[in-house]
This record gives sequence, C-alpha cells and structure tokens, in this order.
Amino acid sequence: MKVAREQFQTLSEPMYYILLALTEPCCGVDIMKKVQEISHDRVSVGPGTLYALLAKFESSQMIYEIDINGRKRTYLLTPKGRETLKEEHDRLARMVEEGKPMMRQNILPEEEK
Amino acid sequence: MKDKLIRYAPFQLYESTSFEEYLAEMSLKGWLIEKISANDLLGFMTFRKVEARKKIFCVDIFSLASDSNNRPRGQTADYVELCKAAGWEFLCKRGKMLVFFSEDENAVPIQTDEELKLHTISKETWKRIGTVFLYAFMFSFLALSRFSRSTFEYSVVRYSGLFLTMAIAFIAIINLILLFDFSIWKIGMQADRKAGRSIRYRVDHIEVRTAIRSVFIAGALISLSITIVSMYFETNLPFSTGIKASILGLVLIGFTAVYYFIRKISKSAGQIYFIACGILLSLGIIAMVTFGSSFGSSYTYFGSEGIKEVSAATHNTLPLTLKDLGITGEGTHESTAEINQTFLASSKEYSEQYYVENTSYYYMSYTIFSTPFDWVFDKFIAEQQKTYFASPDNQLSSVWGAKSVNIDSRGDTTSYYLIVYRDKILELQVGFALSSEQIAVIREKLNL
Repeated sequence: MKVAREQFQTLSEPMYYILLALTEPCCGVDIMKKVQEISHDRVSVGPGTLYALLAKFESSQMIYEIDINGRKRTYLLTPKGRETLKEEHDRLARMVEEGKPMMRQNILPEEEK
Repeated sequence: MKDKLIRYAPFQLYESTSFEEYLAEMSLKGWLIEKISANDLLGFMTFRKVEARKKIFCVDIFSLASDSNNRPRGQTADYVELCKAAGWEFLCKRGKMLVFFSEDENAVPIQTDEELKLHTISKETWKRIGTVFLYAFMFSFLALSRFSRSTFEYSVVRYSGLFLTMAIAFIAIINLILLFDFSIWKIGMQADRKAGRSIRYRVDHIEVRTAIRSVFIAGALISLSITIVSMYFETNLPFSTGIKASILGLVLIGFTAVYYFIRKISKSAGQIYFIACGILLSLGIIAMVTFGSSFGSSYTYFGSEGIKEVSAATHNTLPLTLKDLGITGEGTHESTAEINQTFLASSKEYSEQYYVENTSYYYMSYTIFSTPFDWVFDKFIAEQQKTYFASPDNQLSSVWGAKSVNIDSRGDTTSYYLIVYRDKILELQVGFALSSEQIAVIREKLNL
C-alpha cells in the first residue's frame, strides 16, 4: 500500500480529495475546508497530514506553488496532477460501474435497484 | 503562590501519546507546558499556572523542524501557522517534537493519516536510535575495558577511576535501555500492522520507564561529579592549572551556549557554527582525556637533588629504599610515592632511582596491592598475568615465601615480578639482579 501510494498508482482517500480541492488555486487552510465541503464532512485532513502530502505532491510535480503571500502558499494541479486525478476518478467510477450488476443482484435491497 | 513548575521530561518520539496524556492530566490540574529543553534525556519542561480546564494536546513530529532551534522558524513556522488555522495552538518544541493544544474537543487531529504518522515517527526515531546504538556500543565497550588489563588497577584503587567506571556503565545502561525500549515498541508496532490493528504508541508504564531513566541519568551525573572532585584531590592539581582548565571549559560551554540560546543566525551559518562547536567539544574531550591520563599518572615528587641535601626526611618515608638493598653512594636519588585507596582496594606505589652521571644507574619500583574482596584479588592477578607476567617460576616462590611468583625479564635489564601472597600482591620492577639477601631485606621491610 505504501509503495503504491508513493508511486501514486492509487490514491488514498485524503490524497484524492486534496487533489480534487486543488483543481482550483487553494492555500493549505482552504484545502482543509474544501476537503470537508466536497466530502460533506465525511473526510477531514489534518494539517500535519496535509503538509506532508503537499510536500510529496510537489516533489512528484503533481502540484505547483502559484503564489506566496507571507506564510500563505497557494497551490494548483500541474498537468501531471490533473492526469493522475483523472485516472483515479475514472478508476473509481469504473469500479463502481463494474460493481453495479453484482451489487444489484446480490446486495442492494429491492427499492434501491 | 507558585506559578511555575519544572518537571523532568525524558519522553521519546515514539512515546508522543504518553506525553499527550501527561500534558492533558497536567492541564486538568491547572498547569500548561510553556517550554521544553532540547535534550530528550537531560531535558526539563516548564509549566505555567493557568485556569484548570480540559484541553487536548498533540505532540507532533515534524521532520523538517530544526533539531536545535526551540522556536519555529522557516518551514516550521509555516507549519505552525497551518496548524493554528486548523485550531491548534503551538506551545513549544524540542527538536522535531512540536507540542500543540486545542480547547476544541472536536478539532481535526493534526495527523489524520496513521500510516504517514507512523512512517514519520519511525524514521525520526531511527535517526535518534542510531546515536543511541553508537553510545550503547561505545560505552559498553569502555565500561568493560575498565575492568581489563592495566586499567583494572586504576579502576579499583582510585575513587576517580571507580566513579568514572560507574558513570560510563550508567551511560551505557541508559542507552541500552532506550535501545531495548524502542525495539519492544518496534516489534509490537509491526505485529499490530500485520494483524491490522491500530498502532499502539507507548503509553504503558510510562512512570516506571521514566523513573528508571531518571535513576540511571542521576547515577551517571553524580558519578561524573564525584569523579571530577576525586580527581582534584587525588592529583594535587596545581591551582593555576585548575583555573586554566575551568576557563577552557567555560569558554567551550559558552561557545556552545551561544549557538543554542541566541540562534539569530542563518541556517548555513548555524550549520558552520554547529560543526565548529562539535570540533571544539571534541578537542575539549581529547584534552580532558589527555590531561586526565596525565593527572592519573602524576606523582608526588619528594625531591630530585640528592637525599643528603634536600629531602632526606621524606625520602626516608619510603618503606624500602635502594640504600636498604646496599646501593649507596654520593650520586643523585629521585623518589616518588603514590598511595591510593578505595573501599574496594588499596595500592601503594613507590619508585626510586639512583645514578652517578655517566657511571652507574639503579632503578627500583614496587607496588603493594591489597583488597578485602576475593574477586578483586583474583581479577587483579588474572589481568596482570595476562598483561605482563607470562611465566610462573616455582623455584622463586619458595625464595619469596609467596603463593606464586611470575617473572618477565623482557630481554632488557629490568625484571618485572608479580609476587602473590595470601593477602597482598607485590609488583616489583628492578633494574638489576636481586640476590637472595636482597630478597630477604625486601620481605622484611615490606612485611611480606
């Protein structure tokens, strides 16, 4: 899992939401708020985790710094970051799509089918 | 009313959860941490009096924080700002360990990714544990070597030697305990990961572990202090040399303190300063060891200008002189004496040389070692036999009336004897062949 994360072949939940937030220019505080907004408060990213992940994303050239204002740094996705996010989004969507028939058949209750 | 409180703080990086719990308990009692000193073994933390209220704490490990700077700067300051925006107030830091608190019980934790948190703690502890391992190995080796070969005598007959050995042993034990403790945590942590359980950070028996560390650290510091004081009394260190050594020590401490307390220097300048401090401290340690060795082997000189003229009285305090062995004349006599005693053993060491310029030279030195402890007695003989006295001589044993005699002539004019009696051991070096009459005189004079 660790290796996969390092190579960003699959993204962890916080990674995915941080990249989603960075489809628009955001600083650290904005990212934390946006992640909660996007996930309807289901996912929270702590500042420590965020700082470490931003550093990883930046060193892998998935995000870049577009502005520094005092201690406030604003980031945005790079083309590579957008590509990774899109791949992950598609992978997740595909997984949901591929799972639907079996879910309908065996798991979901009648009214949800 | 007291508004400051100082407590010992030996918390390690992998004990951050214990530390958080401890700080939460203190805040319920109305004490909030405001400062923590740099060293994780010798460090103290300062609390200030606040209104007793429930607070949550986060002891966070930030890899990019400077090891030496206790105020957040650069990236650490950015990080602290980010945490503040998330509802966490920065309190203080020790190296890479940052302490935050929040009054909002629902504040999002600083670390929300367990894997990342674990990775950081593990990585930073490994760096620290490398030094611990080095110290554990080095000091264990040093402690063991204090009980071998020629250092054994020094270690048991002088309080400076005895307490230095104890200090070294304490330092070795402290580091071995840390190494053991971290290994236990690491093994437990790996087992938790394999089993898919949430990781346990060390919270168990923290009071016991802290107490054990405190005892050994106090032991090491007390032993070192006694060593220094004993060294002063044992060596008749001239006052001026003491003053010079103290000034040198103060300069070294001051130089290092400037780095730790002023810190208004750039990062690169800080690194150069840090290296310079390291070099200076190393030189200081080398100087101390060198001086220490020379202090250890210093003698009380009874005079070197001929016994007739200067120091006949003191010279006569030697239990055995060359004169007793029939070596007399108008040449120059020089003699030394050094007597050391601890509760473990005593050693009386004397030497004398007599020479007439360009014509004759006689030399004799003898040490009488005794101890009430059998293991010290046997160990001393074993180590001395290993070092110098290879061949036992049964014939000489009866001449000396001793349990055993080992002799080593080394191919030169000096003979080295190790003569073991029931309750004492005589080490003798003579630069001339001993007759049986002279041996009888030695036995009589030294009560052997």
